Amino acid sequence: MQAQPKGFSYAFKQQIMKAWQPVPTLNSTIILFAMMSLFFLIMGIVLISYSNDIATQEFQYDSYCLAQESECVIQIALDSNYKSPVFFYYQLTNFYQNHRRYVKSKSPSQLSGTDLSESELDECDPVVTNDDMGKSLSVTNEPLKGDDKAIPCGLIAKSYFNDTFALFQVVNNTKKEIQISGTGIAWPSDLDGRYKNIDKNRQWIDMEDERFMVWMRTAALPQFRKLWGKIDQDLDAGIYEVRINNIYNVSSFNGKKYIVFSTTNAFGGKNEFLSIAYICVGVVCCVVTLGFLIRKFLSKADQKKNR
Amino acid sequence: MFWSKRPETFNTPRQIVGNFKCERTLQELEEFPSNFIKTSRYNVVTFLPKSLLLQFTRYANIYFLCIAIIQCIPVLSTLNPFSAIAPLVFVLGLSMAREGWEDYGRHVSDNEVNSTECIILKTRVPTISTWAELSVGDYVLVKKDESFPADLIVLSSSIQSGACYIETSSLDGEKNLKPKSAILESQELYKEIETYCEDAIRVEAQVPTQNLYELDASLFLPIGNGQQKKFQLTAKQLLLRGAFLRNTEWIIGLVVYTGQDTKIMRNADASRVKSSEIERIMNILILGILVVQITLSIITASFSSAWLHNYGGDSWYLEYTDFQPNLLSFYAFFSYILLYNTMIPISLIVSLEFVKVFQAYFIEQDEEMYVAQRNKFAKVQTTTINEELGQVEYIFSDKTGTLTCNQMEFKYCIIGNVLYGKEQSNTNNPVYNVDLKRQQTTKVHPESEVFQHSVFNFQDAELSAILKGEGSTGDMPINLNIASQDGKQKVTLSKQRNLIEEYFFLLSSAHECIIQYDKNQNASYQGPSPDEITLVDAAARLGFQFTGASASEQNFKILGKEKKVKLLKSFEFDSNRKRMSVIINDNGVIKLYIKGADNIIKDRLLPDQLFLNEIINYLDDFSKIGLRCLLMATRVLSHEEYQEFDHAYNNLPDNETRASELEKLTSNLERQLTLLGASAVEDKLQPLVPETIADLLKANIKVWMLTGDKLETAENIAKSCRLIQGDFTVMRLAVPSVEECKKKLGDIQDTYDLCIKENRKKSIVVEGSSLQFVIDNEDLAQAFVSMAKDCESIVCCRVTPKQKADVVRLIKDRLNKITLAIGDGANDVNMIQAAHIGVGLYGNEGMRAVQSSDFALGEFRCLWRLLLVHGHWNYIRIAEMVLYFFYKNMIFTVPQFFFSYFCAFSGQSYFDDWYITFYNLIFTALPLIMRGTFDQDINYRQYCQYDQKEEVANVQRKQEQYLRLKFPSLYYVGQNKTIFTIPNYMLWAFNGLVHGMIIFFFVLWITDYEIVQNTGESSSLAPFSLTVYSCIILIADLKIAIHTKFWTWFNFISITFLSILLYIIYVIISNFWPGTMMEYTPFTMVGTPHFWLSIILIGAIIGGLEAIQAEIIREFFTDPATEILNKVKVFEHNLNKWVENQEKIARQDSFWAGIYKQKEAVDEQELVRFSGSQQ
Repeated sequence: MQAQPKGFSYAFKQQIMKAWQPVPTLNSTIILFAMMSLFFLIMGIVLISYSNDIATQEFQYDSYCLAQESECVIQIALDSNYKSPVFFYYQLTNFYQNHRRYVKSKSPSQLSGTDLSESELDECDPVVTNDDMGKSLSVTNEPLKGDDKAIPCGLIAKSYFNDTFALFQVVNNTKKEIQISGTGIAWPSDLDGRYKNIDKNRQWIDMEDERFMVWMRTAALPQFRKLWGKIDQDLDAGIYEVRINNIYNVSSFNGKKYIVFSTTNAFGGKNEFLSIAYICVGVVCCVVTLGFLIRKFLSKADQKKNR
Repeated sequence: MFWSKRPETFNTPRQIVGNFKCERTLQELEEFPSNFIKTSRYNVVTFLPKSLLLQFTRYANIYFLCIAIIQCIPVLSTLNPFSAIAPLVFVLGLSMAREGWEDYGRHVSDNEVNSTECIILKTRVPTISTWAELSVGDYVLVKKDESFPADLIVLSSSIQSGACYIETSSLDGEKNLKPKSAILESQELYKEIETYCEDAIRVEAQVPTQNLYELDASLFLPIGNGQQKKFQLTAKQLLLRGAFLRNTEWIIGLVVYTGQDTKIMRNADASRVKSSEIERIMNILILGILVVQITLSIITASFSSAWLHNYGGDSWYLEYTDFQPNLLSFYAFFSYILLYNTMIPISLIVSLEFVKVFQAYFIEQDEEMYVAQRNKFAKVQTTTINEELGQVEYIFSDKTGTLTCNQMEFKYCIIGNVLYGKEQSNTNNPVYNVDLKRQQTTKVHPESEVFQHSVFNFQDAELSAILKGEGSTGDMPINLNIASQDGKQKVTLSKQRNLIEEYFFLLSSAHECIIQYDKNQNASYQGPSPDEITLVDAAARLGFQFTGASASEQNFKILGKEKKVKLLKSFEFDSNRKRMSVIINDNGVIKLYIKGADNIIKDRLLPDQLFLNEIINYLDDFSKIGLRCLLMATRVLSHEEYQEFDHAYNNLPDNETRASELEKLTSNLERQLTLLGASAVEDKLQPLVPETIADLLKANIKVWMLTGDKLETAENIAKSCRLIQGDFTVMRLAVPSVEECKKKLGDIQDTYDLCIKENRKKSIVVEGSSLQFVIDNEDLAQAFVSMAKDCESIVCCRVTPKQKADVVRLIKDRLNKITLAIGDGANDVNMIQAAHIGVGLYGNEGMRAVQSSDFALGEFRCLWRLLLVHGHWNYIRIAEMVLYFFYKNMIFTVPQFFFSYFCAFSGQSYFDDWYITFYNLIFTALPLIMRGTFDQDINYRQYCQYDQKEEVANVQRKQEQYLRLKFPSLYYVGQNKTIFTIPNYMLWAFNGLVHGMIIFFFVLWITDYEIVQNTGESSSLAPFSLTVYSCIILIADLKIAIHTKFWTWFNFISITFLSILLYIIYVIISNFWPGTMMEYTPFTMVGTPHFWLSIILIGAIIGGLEAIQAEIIREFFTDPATEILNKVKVFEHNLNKWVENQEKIARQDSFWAGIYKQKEAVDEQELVRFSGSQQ
C-alpha cells in the first residue's frame, strides 16, 4: 500500500473533503416534528393570550358624516377598558396608496430639506406647482405664487388626509375633552431626518408634522390604517363623542372611512391570524409526529412478524 | 506593406517562378496572400462593435437587450433602468472580457509568429528577414531544429541524398520523424548554398488543400540552354509551415504556399460548440416561460384596463388628466413584462458555465484518471457537456490503441510451409537467442523507459539454426522460382534458408520506418504503424537489420554484413489499399516487395502458389486467437518492365485525376505476386479493459467495438475484453449482397426475438460490407437498429473511418440517445466528431484524436471513473441546479404577480429595484454554484486517510471496494434521465408556485393593516415587501440546504456568509440608500416582532412541507444511493463502536477485559455479517 498523501488540497481536488452527509431517517423526522410542534404550540398559546388582552374597536363614520367640509359629531361606545397608551387610527378602504402612479409621485430629496428647482421635481409629476397642488397660502399664511413649485410636491402630499378628530368622554351628559397627541406616532426611522422643512413661508404644510410623515409612508394595500394620534390616558368603557372635521372625500371611489381605537403589547396590535397560524402549525406538526410514530411502530411490528 | 490589397487566399492553380534576386514586383505581391498571419478577430477599434455583435447572436442576450430598452422608456419602466441594465452589462461584460482576453493572447502569438526571423537567400546571400515578409517564390534557408515559415518545396538538403526529416507535432501531434526528400535533380543543382544554380525554376502547383499528406505540383528545372524539364512532386517534397526540421543540418526550400494558403492554416477549423441535451431542453423551457410571462402580462394588463375603466377616473388622488385607460393598460402590459422578467433565469447560463468549469477542473485533477505511463491526467476540452457523461447509453470504441495497447508482439511467422515461433515463452523475461545477443552489443534496442511499440519474445531454435547455417534438418529444399512477366529476369530460391532470408529481407525493406537516434546514440525505429515497426524490429532482432535510408538507397546489416540496395519506388500503406510495397534494385535484380492484409494479397497472387493452402490454414487459426496477420509476397521485374512503369509514373496527368491514375498504375504493378510467407502479431489489451467493459455493461451502457480487423480477430478480441461474455448469444452478419443481407437480418431477428423471450444477453458481429448495406438501405437500417439498440454489445469489423462515423450517426439520429465515441487514432476522428461526446486517447498514433475530442484520457480504463463517477455526479448536479434555478425564480415572481391584484394592476413593483437586481446576481448565486460544484450523492472514497490500525484500514478498504462495486448500478439516474424530466420540472415549478403563495399570503395576512409595533405604528408597503423578500431569501437557502446531500465547508460558508450574511449587510446598506423604496425602513422593521414571527412561521411551514414530502418519497420510492448510504452509516457506526471498544480493552485492567471481550465478540460478529453481505 502506498502512503496516502495528506492535506486539504489533495482532498479538495479528489473530491473527498470532510463533509457532512445528513441522511434523514424516520427517527430524525419524528424528532424534528416533535420539536416543531412543541415550539409552535407554546408560541401560539403565548401569542393568543397576549392578543386577547388587547382592546380594539373600529367605527365607520363616512356614512354618518355625509356633508363634506363640515363638522360632524358622532357618538361611539367603547366596549372595554383601554389601558394607556391608547392608539387612535383612521382607516381608509379602496384607496390605492400603492398605485404605481401614486407611489412614485414625491421627491425624497425635497422632503429631506433640499430646495430643488422646479425642473428637478419631475418625479412629482403631475403635481409640481402650487397651482397643481391647489394651494395659495403657506403654513404661515403667507401667499404662495401659483406657478411656483409646491413644497412639498407630488400626489401623495396632495392627497394628504386632512380630516381632524377631537375626542370627548361623555359622562353623565358632561363632555370631557381627551387629548390626542400627534407626536411619537411616526415610523421611528422616518424621524431621523427623512423630513425637513425648507422654508415654512413657502411651504403649504409643515413637513416635520408627524401626521404628514405617517401619510407619506405609503400603505401596502388598498385598505390601510394609519396612526392619527396617541392618547396617554386610560379610556374606560363607555360613551364617547368624536367631533370630526369631515373634509376628505372617499365616496367618489367607493371608499370608506373609519376611526379605530387600539392598545398594544410586546407583539404589536391584535393579530388573531398570527396566533391562530402558530397554533395550527403546532397542531399539524403534532399530527404529523403521531402519524410517523404510528408508521414506525407498524413497521417494527411488521419486522417482528417477519422474523 | 500589409495595407496593400492582397488576397486572403489564392484559390486557383498557381505558377511560381523562383525569385532568385528576391525582388518584389507589385504584381506578384498582389497575386498571392502575404505570409502575415492573423488569427486574432478584433483590433482596438473593431473589438467593441464586433464582440458586441457576437454576444447578440445569442437569443438570451437579445431578449435581455429588449428588456433593457423597455426599461429605459420612463412611461413603461417600473424600475430603475440601471437595475435591468446592470445584470446585462455584467453578463455581457464577463463574456466580452473573456473574448477580449483570448483575442489579446492571439494578438501576442500572432505578433510573435509574424516577427519570427527566417533566412531568405537573396542572390545566394543569406539575409535575415521575418516570416511576415516572406513571399511566394522566395528561396529560404532553414537550419536544424528551426521551424518552416511557410509551406516549402525542398530543393536540397545538407544530406547528400537530399533527404531531410521533419517533426509535425504542431500540426498533427505526431512526435515521430517523417522523412522528406528533395528530388535527386534539384539536390544536384542546389547542394551548395554558395554556388547554386541561378537559372529560373518554375513550379506549377494546385490549389492548396487541407490534406497534410498531399501535394499536387510539378517542378520545372533548367537543363541548360534555356530548356526546362518537368518533374512530378509528391508530399515527400513538401515541408509544412509550423513543422520542425530535425536530424538535418539545413535545407533550401522554395516557398509555394503562404499565409492562409498553408496547410496548417487550412486545417485550423473553427471550434465546434456543443450543447448538452439538458441545455437544449432548458432553452425550450425558457421559451415556455417566456410564453407564460407574456400571457400573465396580458392577463394583468386586461385587469388593469378593467380597473381603470371602473375606478381610474373616480380615484381623484391619482389625478388622471387626459385619461386614456386603454393606452394606460397597454403601458401596463410592458410594465408587467418587465416585472415578471424575474421568472426568466438570466444568470442561469452564467452560473452553469461557472459550475461546468469547476467540474472540468475536478475531472482534470482526478488522480484516478492519471496514467503514469504517459504522464497524463484527463483533459476536458469541451466543458459544456459535462453532465452528458452521466447519460451515456452507447459507447463506440475503437479497438486498436483503445482497447488494446497498440503494442505488438511478433508471435509467429510462417515462411513457406513452416511455422516458426512455437516455442516462445509467455513470461515477461525474454530469453534472447544468439542473434539477439549480437544485436544488443550494437545497442539497437536499448531497454529504455520510452514507450516501445513492439515487444519481442520470439524465439525458435530451428530458425536460428538455419540462419546460423548449422545444417539443420529444417533447411529442406523448396525450389521456388520467381520470374518476371517477360521472363527476362528470374530468381530461384532453392532451399528453405534462401526463402527465410528473402522473407526477412522483405520485412526489413518493405516499410516506411526510419531509424532514430536519441542522445545516447541508441537507435530505435519510428514508423507510421506499430505493426510495421514490430515487423522491422523483429527482422532486425533476427539479424536482418535495417540501418537507414535515403531517397534512393536503403542500408542494411544482414547477419553482420553491410548491404546496400537502390530504392526505386515506395508506395505507402493506406486504409483503402491495405498494403504497402517497395521496388528495389538488389544487385541488378529489380524486385517488388509487398506486404498487406490477407484478402488483398490473396487476390493478387499468381495462380498455383506453393504455400497458399498451408498459410491460409494457419491464418484461420491465428485469427481465432486474435492475432493480426499480414501476407508477404514478391514479384520480380525485368529492367524493361520497370522502365515502362517509370515512364508512365513520371507522365501522370497533372490534375485531379492524378491520384486515381496513380492508384490504377500501382494496382496494376502489384499483381502476379508470389507468396513468401505470413506473419502473426499479437495485439495486447490495455490494463483493466475487461473489468471496465464489464462494469459499463453492468451500468446498462451498450458498448460497440469498431475495428478494421477481420471478423474472427475482432470477435476474439471482443471475447478477451469481455465485450462478449460466456452467456451471450452471438449473431453474425457477414454477407456479400443486399438480398442476402435482408435474409440474414431476418434470421437474426428470429434469434433475437428468442433471446428477448428467454431474457438472454446478446451480441451482434457485423462485417464492414454488410454494414454498408445496412447504412445505405433505410429499411435494413431500421431493422438493424431496432435489434442493435438493445444488444449488450455490437462488434463491427472491417470498417473504414467513414463507416465508423456512419454507425455512430445511425444510432444518434434514430434513437435520440446519448452516444460516446472513444478512439486514439486519426481514423477515429470522424467518429469522435460525430458522437455526442468524443473521447480521445493519448495514443501512440499521434494526437489527432485528442485534438478533435471533447475529453482526452490516458487510457480506456479512465472511462470508468469519467462516466460512472464524474458523469453520474455532474448529471445530478446540473439537473438539480437547473430545476432549482427555475424554482427560485418562481418563488420570487409569484408574490409580484399576486401583488398586482392589490395595487390595482398598476405595474407597481413589489420589491425595491436593487433587491430585484441582487436576487439572482448575489444573494442566491453562490450557494447554488457551490452545490453544483461539490454535491455528491455517494462517494466510494470515504476516507482521505485510512485508519492507523491495519485491521481497521483493511475494513475501510473493503468498504470502499464494496461501494465501488455498487457504482455501475447507480448510473441509471442519468441514463434514464430521472431528474431533469418534464414532470419533475412541473413539480418544482408547482412547489415554487405554492411556496411563493404561502410566503405572500401569510405575510399579507399577518402584516396587512395590523399594528406591527408596540408603539402603535402600522405596516406599510416597504416593510411588507422587506418581510416577503427576507422570507424568499430564507426559503431559497432552506430549499438548497435541504437538497444538499454533501455538506462541505464551502456549502456551509456559501449559505451562511455569502448568501445570508451578504443579504443582512445589504439590508443595512439599503436603509441609507437614498431615493429607494427601502430607504429608512429596515432598521425599524427588524425591531418588530412581526417580522421575525412571519419568517419563523413561513420557514417552518415550508420546511415542514418539504420534510413531509421527502419522508413520503423515501417511504414509497427507495433510492438506491440513499439506501447504500444508510448501510454505510450503520456500518461506520458499528466500526467506530468496535474501534472504541478495542481501545477500551487496551486501557482496562484484566477484570474488565473479560467482559469487554464478550461484547466485542458480538460486535465483531455483526461486522463480519456486514462484510459478508457485501461480497
